[in-house]
Amino acid sequence: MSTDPVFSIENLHLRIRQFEGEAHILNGVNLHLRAGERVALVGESGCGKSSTAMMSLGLMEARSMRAEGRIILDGTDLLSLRRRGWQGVRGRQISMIFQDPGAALNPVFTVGDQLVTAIRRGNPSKSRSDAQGLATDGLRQVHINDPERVMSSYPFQLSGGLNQRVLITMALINRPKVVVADEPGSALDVTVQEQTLRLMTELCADVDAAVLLISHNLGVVRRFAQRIYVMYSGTIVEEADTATLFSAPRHPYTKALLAAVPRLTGERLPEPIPGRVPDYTDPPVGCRFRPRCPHQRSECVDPPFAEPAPGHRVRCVL
Amino acid sequence: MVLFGVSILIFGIARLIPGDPARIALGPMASNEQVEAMRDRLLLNEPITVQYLNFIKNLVQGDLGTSLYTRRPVTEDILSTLPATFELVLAAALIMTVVGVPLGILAARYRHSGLDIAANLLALLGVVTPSFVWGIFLMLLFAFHLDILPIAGRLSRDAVLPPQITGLLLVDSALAGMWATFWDALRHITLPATALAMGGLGTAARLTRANMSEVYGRQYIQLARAFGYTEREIAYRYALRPAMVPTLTILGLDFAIMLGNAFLVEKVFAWPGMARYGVEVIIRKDLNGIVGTILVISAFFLIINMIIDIIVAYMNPRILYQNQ
Ligand code: SF4
Repeated sequence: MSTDPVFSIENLHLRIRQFEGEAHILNGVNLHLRAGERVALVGESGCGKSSTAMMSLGLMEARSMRAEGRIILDGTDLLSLRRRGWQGVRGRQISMIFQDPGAALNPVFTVGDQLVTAIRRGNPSKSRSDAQGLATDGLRQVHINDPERVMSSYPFQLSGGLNQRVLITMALINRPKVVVADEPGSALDVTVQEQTLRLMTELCADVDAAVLLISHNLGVVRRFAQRIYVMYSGTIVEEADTATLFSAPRHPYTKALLAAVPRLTGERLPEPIPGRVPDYTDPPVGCRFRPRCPHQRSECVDPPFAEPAPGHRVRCVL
Repeated sequence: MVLFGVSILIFGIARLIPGDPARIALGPMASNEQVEAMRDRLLLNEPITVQYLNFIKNLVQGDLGTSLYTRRPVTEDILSTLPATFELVLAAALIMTVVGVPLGILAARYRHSGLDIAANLLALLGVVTPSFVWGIFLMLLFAFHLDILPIAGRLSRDAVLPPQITGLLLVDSALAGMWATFWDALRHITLPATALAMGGLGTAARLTRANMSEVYGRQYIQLARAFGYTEREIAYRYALRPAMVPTLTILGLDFAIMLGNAFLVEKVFAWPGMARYGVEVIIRKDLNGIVGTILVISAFFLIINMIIDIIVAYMNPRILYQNQ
């Protein structure tokens, strides 16, 4: 099924001028999502995955920031949108599930109030009572048995797991084409995280929304994603379908990430990747993984994108 | 309960001020027998506990004793001057809130813009300049040089007094439909109220800006953006309410400062409030007058803070639910 992507990021660059010099946060990111597809973007913290997520919704806010490239949602280039244009897209065609439900819900409004506002933002013609009904149904879909109680509660009266489900409902209630999920549930315990991913799978299939899951943990995305992008220091270093990536990883960084996934069998301690994410104001020339790579050689100055199999692309000389 | 503590405190302090109240009241010409007789009448020769119990007994009956200075009941004295002060402070609080808070909101929305810098400057000026200096400055500018507002007093000499209902001229004249008087009173109160408001206004603007900026950094504001809310909606609905919770609590404290400053501003503008009375009773060591004045001010302060606590609880449901 090679349908056209609903969402694609093309050669996205992001530079932020800082005190220490210009930081090249994103260095030519390319990725795409097909309708209803579940895709993960994986990397260590600080690799630019969250910046990519924020850019996708135009939420990046920094003074003296410069973005190049294109972010295309259903034919429109989001990067060219002004504020008005964004307001028409956010929450309706693309939405976001935030990481920490405790921080992402406004503490002084009830859950119902926030859901209803989100619905009516996406669909201004809806009446308040219609929106209320829709919100109640939405909460039932994430297996909340007493939606009325949840609706009239304030976020701090509910458990983290419940709030997380409220966030999922909110993100999907206007049937967006794309949902960006930034480490959902990872602020809570593992059970909640698992449950979150299960619910997301269920609901996104219902409304045929594509998901871009941002995560630092390959183990978490394994069961969720159909395809995975591995990101390192502002670039995509490898992309492949999940099975291929786990069975035949090519990039040394991907291999290192896989080795760092804790195993329940516990036969071997996870190996942390030596070294750290490079300095963005003065990145290494060529492959940015070079200082940490065990296989580095002289050709690594400008690694090409290799395609060992259709849909499996690696940026490495190996 | 708090008032009870305050009453002990004031009562004690008032009696620690040096000088014999009876001697001061009667003047140097009075004989020692007369002074002694007065001391007896005032129970000043009794132990302090007896004095205090007697004071409380009268207080419960709404009697604050007789002023040694005006020779009239203290309650009467205070009631005749309190409304003017009350009106002045309320007007100042209103100005402080309706100007200061929006100024802070705008400064937070357009951070680092010219407007933000200007607001910050004004706020700083407001905080560092004593209110009576503002009073003199405003008086010189608007009443003297521009001559567009009256220079002092609460009403013009020829104004018709409205029937007394609340004692607040603006309210009373509006209730009675006497718009000429209302307008006159409004013109009179503008300068002193503005002078009194300037300090708090600066605090209000800076606090609002700081708390709004803090809220702007929160994830729920990002979420609101991610769901297509307009910036205006975010500012006035989703950021303002959480930001007002800490702001209001501190603004409540500003009322206390305002009450103190009101004395000075009243002096500058010859406002017929409690200032003159308050100062005179202290100079004359009028025990009952001092205690009464301070007690009324404390009560006023406590009531304002209670109202603020209620508003804060309404704005921050967490407080409401924790108390249940
Ligand atoms: S390009 Fe070279 S340095 Fe970079 S990952 Fe491949 S082998 Fe290592």
